[in-house]
Amino acid sequence: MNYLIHDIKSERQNVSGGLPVGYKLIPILFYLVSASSIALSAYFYLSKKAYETAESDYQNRTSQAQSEEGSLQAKQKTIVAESKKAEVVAKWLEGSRPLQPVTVVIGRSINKESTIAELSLERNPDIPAHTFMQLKVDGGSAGQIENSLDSIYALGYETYSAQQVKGEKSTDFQATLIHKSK
Amino acid sequence: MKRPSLINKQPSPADILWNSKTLKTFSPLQHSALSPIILGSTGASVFPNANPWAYINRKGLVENTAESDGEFVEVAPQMADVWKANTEDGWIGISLNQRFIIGLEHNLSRKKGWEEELRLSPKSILGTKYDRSKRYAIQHNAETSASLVMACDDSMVKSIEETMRGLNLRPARICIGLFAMMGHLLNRISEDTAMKGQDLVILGWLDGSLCLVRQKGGQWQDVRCRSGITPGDDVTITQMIRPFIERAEPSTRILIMEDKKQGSFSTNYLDQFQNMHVTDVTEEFHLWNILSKY
Repeated sequence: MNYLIHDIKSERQNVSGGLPVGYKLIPILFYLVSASSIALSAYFYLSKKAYETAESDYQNRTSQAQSEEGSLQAKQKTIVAESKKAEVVAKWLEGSRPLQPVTVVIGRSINKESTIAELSLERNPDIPAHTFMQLKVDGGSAGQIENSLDSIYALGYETYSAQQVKGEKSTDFQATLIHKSK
Repeated sequence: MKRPSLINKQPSPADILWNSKTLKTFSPLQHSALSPIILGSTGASVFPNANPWAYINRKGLVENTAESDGEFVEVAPQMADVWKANTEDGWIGISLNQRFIIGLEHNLSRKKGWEEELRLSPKSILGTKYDRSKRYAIQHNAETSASLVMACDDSMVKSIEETMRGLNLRPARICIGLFAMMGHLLNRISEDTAMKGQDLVILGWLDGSLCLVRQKGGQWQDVRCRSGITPGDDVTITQMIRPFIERAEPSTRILIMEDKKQGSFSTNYLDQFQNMHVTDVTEEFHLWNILSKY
């Protein structure tokens, strides 16, 4: 039976006047802050994940770039090495001017009374611009060597460490020829 | 004044004191889980009478009863320590048996929460019938617009509450025992398909207070109530009962409910109904049981 006996006692007076109305906002604020905390936590978590992904991507790209840089540097070293070799060859080639004109002008400078007993032109392997010349002229006057040197000078060469030895019938001359352009 | 005795005795119709931690809505199931408690009585401050009380155990059963002569305000100071020792925190239920009236009203508001409304703003329920010096309780007829309205003196309730407050006792529930008994019996009748259609005269008696309700075809047709009837005042009782007997038909059945078996009414006034069909529905510790279960 759903029966409840009446009660006529006095209502209990509130012990206190109750909290201010503004305090009703406390639970609302609590739930708002809780929801905001959850949302911010989720946002920061997703941001952290995105940052980690981006960082990993950047690291991959950095390592890839470093790998490419190493490869390029290796190629550059190879090229530089080849270039140095080429420069040496170019210098050698530039220094190794043709000796044929020298022999020709020497031959043309010899007058009738003189003959070329010996002529050698030896290029210094290390310094191709330096050519060691040995000339032995038989007969002729003392000015024969001078004529030949003038012809050589006309080609743009200079002589260094020149030595001349005059014998009874021949004159030995040796010097290092260096082109003026050097 | 004689010293109250705690030996087993039949509780006299009056009041019940009962420990409870529930204040507004009273649920017997909640109380049955409490420690053994107590009960006592109060009642008439007009006529010196016995103030009984009963101890209710955790199962909601009456374990012991006792009583003391005198007014409640005199008995309570003597018994306060004993009552507190047998209750939890001094919670005690009280039944008032004097200075109240029960009437019949129609078309009272039954909107949701009317019980709370009756406590806080009884005028909105009772309208012009409201008297600020009274406290009210209502028992609605579930199938008609009729309602039993109980009104008791506000000053008496306050007096009891002040007395208890001064003794560090706490009123768990203060009710009108006779109105509770009548409400309980009317509810039982309304739920009994064989009974609710019959022509009935329902009589409740408790400690010098008498209430009569005529029910016919499920409708409450007449209600008469009087409290504070002095012992031996046969004239008053006869005047109250006579209209019901005169209007009774051969099929009319009389239901009598008292607070205990072989109460003072069935002992002294049963012959008022002559040869009519009278059924006494009173059970042992009837008042205590109703107050402890509902």
